Amino acid sequence: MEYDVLAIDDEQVILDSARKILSLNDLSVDIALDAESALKKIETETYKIILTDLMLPHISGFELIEIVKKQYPKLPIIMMTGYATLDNAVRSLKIGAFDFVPKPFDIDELLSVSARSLRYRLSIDDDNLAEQWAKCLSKKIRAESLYFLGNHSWARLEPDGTAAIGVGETFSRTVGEIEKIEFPRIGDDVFQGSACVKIFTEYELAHTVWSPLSGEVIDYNRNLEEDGYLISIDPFFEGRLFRIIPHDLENELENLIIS
Amino acid sequence: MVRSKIGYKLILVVGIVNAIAIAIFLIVIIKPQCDGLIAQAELGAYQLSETIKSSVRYDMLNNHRDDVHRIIDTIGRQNGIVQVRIFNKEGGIIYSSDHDEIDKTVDMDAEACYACHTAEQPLESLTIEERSRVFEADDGFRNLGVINPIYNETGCWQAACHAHNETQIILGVLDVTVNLEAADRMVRANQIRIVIITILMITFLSLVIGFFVRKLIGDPVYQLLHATNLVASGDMMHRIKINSKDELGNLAQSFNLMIENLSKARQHIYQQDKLASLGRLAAGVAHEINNPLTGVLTYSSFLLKRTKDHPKIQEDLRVIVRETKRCREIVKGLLDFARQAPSKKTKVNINKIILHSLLIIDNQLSIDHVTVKKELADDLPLIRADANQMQQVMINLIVNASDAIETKKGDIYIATIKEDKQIKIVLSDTGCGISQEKLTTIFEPFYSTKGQKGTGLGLAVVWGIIEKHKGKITVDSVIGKGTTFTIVLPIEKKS
Repeated sequence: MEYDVLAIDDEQVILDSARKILSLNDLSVDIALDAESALKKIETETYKIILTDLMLPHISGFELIEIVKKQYPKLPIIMMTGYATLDNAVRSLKIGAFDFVPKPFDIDELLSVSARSLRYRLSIDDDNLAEQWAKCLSKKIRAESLYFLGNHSWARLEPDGTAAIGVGETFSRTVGEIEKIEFPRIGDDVFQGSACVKIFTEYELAHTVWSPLSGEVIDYNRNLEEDGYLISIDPFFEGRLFRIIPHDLENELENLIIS
Repeated sequence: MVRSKIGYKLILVVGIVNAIAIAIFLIVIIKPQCDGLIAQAELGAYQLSETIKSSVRYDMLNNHRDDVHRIIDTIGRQNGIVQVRIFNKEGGIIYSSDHDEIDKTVDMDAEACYACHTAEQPLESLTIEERSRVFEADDGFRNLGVINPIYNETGCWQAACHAHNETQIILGVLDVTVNLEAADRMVRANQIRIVIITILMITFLSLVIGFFVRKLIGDPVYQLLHATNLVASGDMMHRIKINSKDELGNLAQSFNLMIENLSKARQHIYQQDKLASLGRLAAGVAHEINNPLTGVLTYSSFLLKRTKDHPKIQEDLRVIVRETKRCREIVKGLLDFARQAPSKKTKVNINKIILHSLLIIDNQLSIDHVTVKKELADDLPLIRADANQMQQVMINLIVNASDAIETKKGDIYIATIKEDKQIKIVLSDTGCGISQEKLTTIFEPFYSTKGQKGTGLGLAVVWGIIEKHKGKITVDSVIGKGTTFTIVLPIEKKS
């Protein structure tokens, strides 16, 4: 059979609520109570995206990501993590999770992240779009040496010691039509792996951007207030989000992937 | 026990030293006095014998033997005179106050004779000391015998009796024995008096020394011992009363200080242990509660979406969603407290964080009529800390302080101080204060005085954050006067 989502958690209530929420968007949901049965299901059935808990018996969410990434590189995985495991969230992005959603989440948070991952899946399944994807990871980005938090967000170290922060293409191309952006306040601190920007889009969705670095916010891209579309067309330059003075590059760069 | 032992030992030592000192005193002072008495008696006895000699001289020359006998008898009966005898050269007793002895012969070894007759050739002249002898009589008192040689003179060998010839040098010896009873009695009385005085003095000195030993050493040592035993049995509240500024007073003071520090350290460890186990419990609960909370939150927000045309139901559902989100914040706080949320340590300026925190809660403070006084050190070094968590610490403490001030006007005083290897943050308020019993529990999770207003996690989170930064937080408070929180954070060396 073909499902939109495979939800994996050892708690039935989570699976039930995931099913209920996602069915609001007419998504079909299959469930598994542990990683072993999930892997079996992935072999026999077809899924567009996977939504998995981190703390699973026997095989953990991390191992599951690695196994799935190897065999089904196109299959986006959303990790559900408890608040206490921020580092785990960063780690899951590093090893290839599409995004993560901290527990306990509300309906909008789950709908937003699953909408983006579905769009991503659809876009890489589409041959034309796939070509565009390839183009996206073009030379100009490589030359810039960006530090990526998974494929989710990036940081560019500027010569003056500041760092520009923005979202990656998997985010910018899947977020949809931006209606409003909530920036952090200037002078506030943002932290690696925690929410820094909220982007409100069509269909009442609210997407969270996880900051790739910790630091003090010194300014944000005011152009985006008028024209959020810049994020979608040029996420690395015109569409950058804000700038920070990084707090702890030394330790935090280890969690990022250099392009 | 020990109190008396040290006291007794000292008293014993002092008593012995006293006794020795008095003995030396006796030998040095009393002995010559006794000797002087004997010398005086000797002189008296010699003078007496000279008197007898001159009294009987006439009768001897005229050979009036009866008169000699009478004189000797008369003198011999006098008080204090034991015996008056005259020996001839051969040792025969010619005259004696003791009539039984007359005509008896004494040996040359007799006590009266040996002074001269020990040498081969009998001595013919002697000093006064050599002529006298002291011996103990049967009545227990001593007697003093003085011999006085009777030299040959012209009248003797020319006398009509022709008893002596010209060649003899010494005709005989006058031996006078007086008893030393009076002197002996005096000496004995003196000795008794001295012994009594000695005993009294030793007793008195011992009592005085005992009193002072007890007061100056015994009592303080006992108090120290008592305090040590109490502390050993776990009573950390006991303090020694300090009455003196001497070494023992200093010792007691050091002891008090030591116990103070020990009890603080112990309390800190106890607190740490307690909060660590509470933290584990909280973390466990938080993890367990995360999933059910997810269920409640998703279902309620799901229903909220589904019931758009039922405003009444929506209103109720919003309450559920709002309260569930509040639970989420509590869980977040619990995990913060349990130190499960990793801290992102970067180089931060604590002064900046304090100013920023004040800015955030500025509105609340002005409403509460609170004046904030700052004394921030200019030379405060950057430290490695989680800026967000530190800000949380400052906000929690400042909000608490302003809550403690309640409706009346009051001050919050914030200071940062650079110390050797640490920085110190002092935050005090002039609020209502916290009672001593409550001071030990304020860092526990779910301890709250604010009722519905607070979660009871504020100070627990503060504690958790400070612990995680290898710092220390202490609190002092006086009811009605205010509360002071002191945070100490280490300055890490540059790696």
